[in-house]
Amino acid sequence: MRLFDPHIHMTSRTTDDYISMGQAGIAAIVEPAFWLGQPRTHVGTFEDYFLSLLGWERFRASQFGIRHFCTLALNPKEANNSKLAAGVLDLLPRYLEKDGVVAVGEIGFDDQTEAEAACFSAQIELAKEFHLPVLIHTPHRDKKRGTERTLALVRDSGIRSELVLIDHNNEETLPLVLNSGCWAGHSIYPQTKMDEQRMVSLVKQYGGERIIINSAADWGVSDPLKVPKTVQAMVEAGISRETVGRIAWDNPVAFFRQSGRLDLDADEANLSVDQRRLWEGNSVLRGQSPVVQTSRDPYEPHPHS
Amino acid sequence: MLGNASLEVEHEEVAADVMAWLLPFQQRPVHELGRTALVLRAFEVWPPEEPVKFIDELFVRGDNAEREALLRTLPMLPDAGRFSVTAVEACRTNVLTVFDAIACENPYPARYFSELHFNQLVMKALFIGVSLRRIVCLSERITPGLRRMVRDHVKERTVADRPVHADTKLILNPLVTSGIR
Repeated sequence: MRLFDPHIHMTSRTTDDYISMGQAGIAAIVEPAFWLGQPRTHVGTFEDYFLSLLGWERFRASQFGIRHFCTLALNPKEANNSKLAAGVLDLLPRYLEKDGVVAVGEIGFDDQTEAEAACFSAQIELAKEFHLPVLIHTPHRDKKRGTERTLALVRDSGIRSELVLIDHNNEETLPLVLNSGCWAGHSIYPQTKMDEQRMVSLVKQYGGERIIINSAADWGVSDPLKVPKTVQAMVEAGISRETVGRIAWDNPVAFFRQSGRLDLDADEANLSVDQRRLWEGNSVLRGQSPVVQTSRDPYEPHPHS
Repeated sequence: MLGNASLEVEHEEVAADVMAWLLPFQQRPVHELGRTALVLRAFEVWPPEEPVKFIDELFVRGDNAEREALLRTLPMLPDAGRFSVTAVEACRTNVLTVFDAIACENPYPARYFSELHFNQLVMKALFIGVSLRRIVCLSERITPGLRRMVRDHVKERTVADRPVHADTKLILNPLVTSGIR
């Protein structure tokens, strides 16, 4: 089964993770621009971050047979720094034009301040201008109320609901999001957010339509294999392979394809992992033995692939 | 949208001078030729006031595909030697497809790089396993300094019991070297 992790911060992860992800069947990922764990102090550091998502990280993923796309935005937390926010919003139009950008994100609420709401709205307008979908983070604190405010803001903006993915849902927020017509993301994240067994229960209750799962793996205690692990849990719980394949591949593909830029069939997509030419110097292997495999898919071909 | 299909031009289809121009773009994605045409057109229609800065900004703010197209465009630009700072900086990349764009099938390094920078390009190609046969006019830029670097490299690899790139012979053995362009 070909798998898609539509929310993972590979900048914070190692090459061991890329190898494990490839072996577990992950063929494509989306890396949203986010908070780096401590506040940035200059607009220019956002520009370098955007460029590394579009350049180095995309290439790094390709070396392990994984297609890398990104979403760019000013994240909710740093929207509260007014000096930074204006500069980053000015920077975004130049980078939203790039081929590897498949959505505006992650945007949304953190503390649910007025400054966050203003940046949230401004970036939905940018998404409309650039004909891109949006990836929306929902807050950890006061989550249900934050999700209700998010859905109200989305509705008022006039953006079509099929262009909106609301992320980090739980049992309380999922029905609200499904009723709105937006896509619903779930971050399977150790100890917080959502776990495999709770996700299985949600899928049994709500089915697979507009449901998306991701690892949201980052610099915290997180697990880049949560998509394959959740897929396994769903299969073991008797959920049909059709529904599982829909959640772990078809849905994220359908959502991000609305950007017109999710080019999964480009040459890179069909490359097997071949690092024979990367055995030293500036390759990420740094002198280690190369991994060469003829196929990156250890499982049977997915019926929808 | 020009797309990712690779460009294939038959020799009979176009005049020889146009073919020489198209050669670096053979087998490359069609969008790359499109990006090149845009840069060349920009120089014709509204020549930038500060061309060196203009080209460097396009490079710095480009994604991988944009950077690769720009590097293949450099030798076609008017007074191309002035853009060598960008070309040398491109060699410092970790992204192999970007390195290939300046190092391989591109006449720019042999024509405009200093000995130091040209030698570093050759050594990096050896380190990352790029065939030296892809470096345009390599034989014309072989110097005692480059031979010494390659000799030291071969010795270092041999002592460490590691494989040596077969193309080191192109630098060290003059008989082999005379066979390359």
